[in-house]
Amino acid sequence: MADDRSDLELVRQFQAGDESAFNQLVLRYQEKVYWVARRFVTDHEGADDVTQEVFVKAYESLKEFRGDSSLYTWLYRIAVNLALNAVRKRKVREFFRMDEMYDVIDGGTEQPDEALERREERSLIEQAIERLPKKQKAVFLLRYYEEMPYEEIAKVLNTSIGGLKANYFHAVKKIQEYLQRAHGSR
Amino acid sequence: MRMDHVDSLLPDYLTGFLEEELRKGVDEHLRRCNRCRQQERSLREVLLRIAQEPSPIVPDGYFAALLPRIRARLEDRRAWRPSWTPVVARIGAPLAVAILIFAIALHLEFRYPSTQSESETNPLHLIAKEISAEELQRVLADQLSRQPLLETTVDPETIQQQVIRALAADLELSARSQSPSIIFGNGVSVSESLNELSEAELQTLLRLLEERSIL
Repeated sequence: MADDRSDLELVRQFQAGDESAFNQLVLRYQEKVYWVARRFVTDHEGADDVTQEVFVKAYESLKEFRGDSSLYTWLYRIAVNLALNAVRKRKVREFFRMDEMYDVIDGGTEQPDEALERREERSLIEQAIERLPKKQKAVFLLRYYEEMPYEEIAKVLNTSIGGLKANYFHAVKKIQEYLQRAHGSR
Repeated sequence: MRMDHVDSLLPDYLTGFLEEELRKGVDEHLRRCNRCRQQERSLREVLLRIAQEPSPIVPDGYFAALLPRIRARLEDRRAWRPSWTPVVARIGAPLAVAILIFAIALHLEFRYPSTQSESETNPLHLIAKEISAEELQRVLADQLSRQPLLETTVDPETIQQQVIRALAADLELSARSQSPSIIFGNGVSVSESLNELSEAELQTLLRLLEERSIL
């Protein structure tokens, strides 16, 4: 049966010690949070980890939640920050792993086809989105996939609303250019 | 309604999220502006392609099992925190980072002699020579984080390869492990060490990367 208590009611009940209210919030928002995370980090395992972390962080911080912004915006802000962090951490780790660079110096132990195949496991669109600058990527994912109003995006990203439409346009344009280049090089 | 070029309104126009009045304005503008019509056509194509992208697959039953897993993670954190958090967070983590950076810095001092060489013409090599090991780490990671900005003119992998080539003359390369890594001096491996960094240590490193902008 659907729970008709508002987000704020659930938060207040959780703050008063009702653990089941937190469960209800998780059930209400788990899919939304997962999909935000999935768009940012692209793989299921990474998105799963970010989703769990979002709710762990929410659990730890909800005691201080005063309702200045909506719970939805608040959770999205946590999700976007953790997802961006996860992406950056992965990039740093991948960089220092340097398996592909090693081949360049060593004369090449990996077959070119294998490297190409590994890159192409992910779609061109995912690759194009991954290469967007951080803010454009966030604006694109929240606007296109989450259909979030610009006012909410500004709150989630803790930025002013001015320029968000331009960020969105430039993101789409860069995706288009990336796809064009990718096709041109084939 | 008169408008200048309507670039920034086009994505919302094409996805149906533009308010009625603005939509009419864009319609009107597109009728008389060839440039924006072309822009609209190319964006329409890419948005259509994105829309046709299949949704990522989520394993069956994933959401049904998520709440218990979140609860289990919360329990793990609670069980772990009381004894470890204060020591690790306040003393252990900063100490470990300091030791790691100091060890790498110490060995890099010997790896970058001040003699002239032809490789010094490589700007990456120059940077590597003149900065500390701590900063070198930031430069390496910064290359990666900045790829989106550079990628229009240089292939991202080329950047990484340039960095490695520039440093290869000064650093030993090791293939001891399955995942090759750079070894500094007496065997301190950046790769292995980084993988062993705790969450707090990694966050510190990431924060440093954020603060720095080179190249």
